[in-house]
Amino acid sequence: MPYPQILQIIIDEIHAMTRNGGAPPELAGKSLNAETPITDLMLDSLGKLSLLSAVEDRADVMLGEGDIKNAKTLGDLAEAVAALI
Amino acid sequence: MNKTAAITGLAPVSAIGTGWQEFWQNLTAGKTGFRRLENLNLPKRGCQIAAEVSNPPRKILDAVNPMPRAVELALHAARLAVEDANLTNDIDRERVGVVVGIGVGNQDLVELSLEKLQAGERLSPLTAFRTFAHAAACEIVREFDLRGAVQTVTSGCNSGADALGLALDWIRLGRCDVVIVGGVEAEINNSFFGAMTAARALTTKFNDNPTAASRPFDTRRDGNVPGEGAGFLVLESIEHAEKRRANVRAKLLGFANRAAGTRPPYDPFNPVFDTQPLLRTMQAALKDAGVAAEEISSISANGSSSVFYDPLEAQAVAELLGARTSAVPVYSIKGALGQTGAVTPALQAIAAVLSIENETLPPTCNVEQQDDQCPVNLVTGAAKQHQSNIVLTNAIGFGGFYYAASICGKN
Repeated sequence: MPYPQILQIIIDEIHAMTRNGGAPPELAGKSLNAETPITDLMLDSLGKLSLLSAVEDRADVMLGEGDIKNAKTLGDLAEAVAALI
Repeated sequence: MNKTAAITGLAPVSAIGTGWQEFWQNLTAGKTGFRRLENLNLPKRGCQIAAEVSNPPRKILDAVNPMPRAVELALHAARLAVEDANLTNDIDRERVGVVVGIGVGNQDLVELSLEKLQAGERLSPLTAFRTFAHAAACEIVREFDLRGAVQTVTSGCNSGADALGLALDWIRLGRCDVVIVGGVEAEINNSFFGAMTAARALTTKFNDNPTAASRPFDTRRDGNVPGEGAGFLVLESIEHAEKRRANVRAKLLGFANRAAGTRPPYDPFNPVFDTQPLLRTMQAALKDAGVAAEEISSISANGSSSVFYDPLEAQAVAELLGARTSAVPVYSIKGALGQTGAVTPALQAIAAVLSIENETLPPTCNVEQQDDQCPVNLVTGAAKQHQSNIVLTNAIGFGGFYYAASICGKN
């Protein structure tokens, strides 16, 4: 699965979370891309873990304790997922 | 009040050996106890390996007289500890206490019970007694016909450490002459693996190379390796041990546990890195023992192969030791045994006693390249000859909410 596809999965899952109440509604109209800081998502702890679980299911990977420790942006997260595929 | 307790019995039941002789031989030889699991419904992308005990072997739970794995392991270890301490039938049973530390409880029997209920089957009347966390302590009391204090401590991965601390207090306060104390854990079941996988606490990258999976302080570590086991010790008041001419193998000098206070919720992208709670815990244990940090001879680290907590612990230890950081050897038995929940601190205590007796420190297994974020004098490769008079042992609770440390000393 190429990096752009993984990034799109991440963005799709964030938008899905805004629709089902798992993420702040302000995110719904926000443009997301590889440079978007994860902190800008305004997700709480559970929201971040839920996002990771959803991305894992879609990409069929398992993110370990250390895989995302340096991820600051959505692009970083996509790269971390891509590295596991 | 004598502040110390004599340690007169040791009994590990672990994936690298049952009984202290086999345990110590394999620990110092750098043997690991991990293998790939079969016959479990494990999360498909998660951890598939564990440290499993072969003696006693795992049995299928009896539907009529179910004996959970944790109870079985604890009983086995308690019997060995009593034998090792040479506790005889003429002991005053009112003065013998039991403390058991257990983290996740008897999940195997809970799972079996759910299956039976869903299938419309009747449960054994013993299910109620055996599913609760206190079952192991009660079965030990029954086995030896003990009449003294009995208590179960459950504080996650630190349960075994906290059990030791409670037993020390009982000896100090004169509530018991003898305490059979230990930790036990049986984590090899579907519910434990499912929950810990969801929490991202377990290794995922060594399923095809189980022996290399637990790598404390190594750059390639990627999470805890779970498992099962039991570790029991016999603590006695110094007076009682002297009176019956027991073999005092070492002394438990002090203990402390500390909470971390208010913490923000766990953030997988930005976990809180705060060395102060562990530092405060180690300092409190030293104060309780009446020992200065300058007197520490070696440290048995929590070192669980955690990406996050290994550097946190190493940096807290470096803060504690200051200029002596490079002089004090540190090792983690979890490279051989994994993060086996409540049992590990008890096994650490046993290893600490054996390290004092044998003037040898076990190697930290699987350290190929020590992480430069973990600035401690790590024992790696092979066992190291080293005279230890004072051993500090650390335990870090799940999520970093609570910490424990104990101090063992030469007899």
